[in-house]
Formats: sequence, C-alpha cells, structure tokens
Amino acid sequence: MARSSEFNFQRKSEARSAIAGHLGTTVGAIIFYLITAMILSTVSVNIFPGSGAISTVGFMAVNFLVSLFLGLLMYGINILHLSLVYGQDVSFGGLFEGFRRGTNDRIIKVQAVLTAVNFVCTLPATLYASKLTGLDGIRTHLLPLTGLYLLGSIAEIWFALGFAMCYFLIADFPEMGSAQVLRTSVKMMKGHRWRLFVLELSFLPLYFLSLLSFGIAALWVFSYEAASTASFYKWLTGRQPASH
Amino acid sequence: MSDYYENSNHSGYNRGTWPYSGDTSEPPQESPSPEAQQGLETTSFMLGIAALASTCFMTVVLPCILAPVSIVLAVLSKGRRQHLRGAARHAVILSAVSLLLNAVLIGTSVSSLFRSPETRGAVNQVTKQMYGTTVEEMIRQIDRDLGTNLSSLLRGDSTTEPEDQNRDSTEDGMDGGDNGTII
Repeated sequence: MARSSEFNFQRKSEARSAIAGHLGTTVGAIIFYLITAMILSTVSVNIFPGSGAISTVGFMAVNFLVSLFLGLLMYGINILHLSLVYGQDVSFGGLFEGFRRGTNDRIIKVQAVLTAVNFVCTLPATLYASKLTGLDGIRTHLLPLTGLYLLGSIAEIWFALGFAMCYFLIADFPEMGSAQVLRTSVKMMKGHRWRLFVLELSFLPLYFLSLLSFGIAALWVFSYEAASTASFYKWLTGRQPASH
Repeated sequence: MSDYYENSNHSGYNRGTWPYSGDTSEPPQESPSPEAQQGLETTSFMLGIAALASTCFMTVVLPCILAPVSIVLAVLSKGRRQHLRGAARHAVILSAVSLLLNAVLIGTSVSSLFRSPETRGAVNQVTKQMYGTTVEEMIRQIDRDLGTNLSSLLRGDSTTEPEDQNRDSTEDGMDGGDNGTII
C-alpha cells in the first residue's frame, strides 16, 4: 500500500491537472455558493429574531431548510470537480445539476441526514453554552465547554468522513436510493477514513495562508480540495472489491 | 461490500471506463494542457510582483491579499510535477519576501505606536478625526473588554497634562498655609 505522502501526492497532482484551465468556472461556482449562503444566512437570522422558544425553534427550522437548499448547490460543486477529474468538459451551469428531477430528492434526503447528524454532534456543547451567562460564565466553564466542543467535532468529523462519497455516488449511480447511497458511502469508506482525513489535513497550511488574504485565496484552495476528494473517489471506485 | 460494483449499471462518470480492474496501482493520467499551466505560472508571477510592489508602497492590506493568492496559484501550476519550476518558484519567493517585509513594517509601526509618545500623538489626531476617539482610549477599551493589560505597554504621555502641575502646586500651597496658621 502506498505511503500516505505518496498517496496524497498522486491525488493532489491529479486534482491540479484536472482543474488547471477551469479555475474560472470552479471558483466562480464557489463564489456563487458563498454569496447564496451569506444571503440565506442573513435572511434566516432576521426572520426569527430574539431568544424566545418560538424564535429559537423557528430559527432552527429555517436553518434546516437553508442547509437543504445549500446541499443542492454543494452537490453541483462536487460534480463539477468530479467531471474535471474524469476529463469531462464543464460549464458554470453544472453548479445547478442538483436541481434536476430525479436527483434533487435524493440529495435533499441525504443532506437532511447529514444536517441531522451535524446537529446531534453539536447539541451537547450548544446546550451547555446556552446555560452560561456572559463572558465570565464562559471563562469559568471554559474547560468543560472546550471538551464538549472537541468531542462533538471529533464525532462530526468521523461521520463526515464516512458520508464523504455520498454526492459522488448520487451522480454515478442514478438508480441508487438515498438510503443505499448513505450505506454504500459508509461501506466504501471503511478502512479508508484515516487516508481521506490525512488528505484533507494536508490542505490546512494553504488554508492558514489564506487567512492572511481574508479568505480570498481559500476560493482556489477549496477548488483544489474538492478536486482532490473527487480524485479520492475515483481511486476508491477503481479498486478491485475482492481485495477487501 | 461489492454489491455496488457488481449490480450497478454504470451510466455516469465511470461509463465503461474501468480499465484498471484488479490493478490497484496508480493508473496513467493525462497531463494538463501546457497553456493552462503556463497561464497559472504567469498569473502567480505577476501577482508576486504586485505584492512586493504594494509592500514597498506600504499599503499593508494589499500584499496580504496578493501574496497568498500568488502562492496558491503557483502551487496549482505544478500540475503533475513534484516541484515548482521557473516563474512559479520566483512567484513564491517574491510573495514570501513581500509578506516578510509587510510583517516587519507592521511590527515596527505597532512598536513605535506603543513606545513613542510623539508617534502616538500624531496618530491620535488622525483617529480622533476619523473615529472620534484616541488610540489610548481604544487600547483601554480593549483592556476593559478582554481583561488584558495592553495600556501598561504604552510608554510616555502623548498629551500635555496641565492639571497634574496645578495639583502639585496647590498641594504645596495648602501645606504651607496650614503650617502658617497653626499656632
């Protein structure tokens, strides 16, 4: 089995080759996604202002709907990069692939599960933080709060790695239902979660560098990362199943 | 585990293109077009020059934006190569130098602000006009909000304080007067 550095080099060099010459389209799609996410987040915050029970539940419901909609766009971004990795031509319109009939319902169901998992993982820390009052309260309970956030993040990452191939499977297997997509992704990622985790971690230095540019350079880094994940999927599906 | 391979009807991205069954070694890959790579190298190089030039003109924010973008584009221009080459390598060097110079400029400016009352006084005039408050007041506000002690680093007094001199002379007068009236 190839060492992780060699493996990462193969995935990332394939990604670089795939996106070279198409960065205008991919970065444009990412910018569109970010602007849409920003507008929808601003609207969702202002629809239910205040901190009462109704406002909180309403805010959570609106947030859930926003995440489903953004999932359709994120599917488009993933499929743009998957197409590039497979040497296919792409256009900006590929961003809206997720809105196609026959695909959008599966994406929405899968995204609903992903959002629910994310919510459950962050719930303990959120509930604990909601009971603290002011900066002093947070300071005195900093250690347990940090611990809860850390545990929640670890769980979230573990699940995210397991479901990382969902969007690619939806695109690659039109006959596969949403439940089977989730199960298949988890099966595919069994034994490969650490490999994908290390690949994703390798982008951290570039993301830290992007902080200096107020996140502008991160647009290109995100495209690079998305193409590397698509390359990982291509490698994973190219393996002989009998070898497992 | 293998049901998605055996029972699926591949009609998407892997449409009839599984030439590597049974072989888990890395398949041969197409190289990116030379024009695309050249374009990325040239763009990153131009951005590196722009970052260094903007540092020399002390724009502070512009090099912070241009240099990272230049470095990222230089990395992307590598394609299948192991190392950076030619214009991309120069772009990374130029960007790194501009970031370093920018950091030194910012560091000396901030240090001068804390150490030199004259510099702080000049900056106070500008911030007072622009934001209605002085740098010292902003630093004290930060100390109150975050519980830090940055104001202890401020050296010297950037403003004249006539009330201090008045208080000293008044105290001397009172002492002299009191002594004078006691019999």
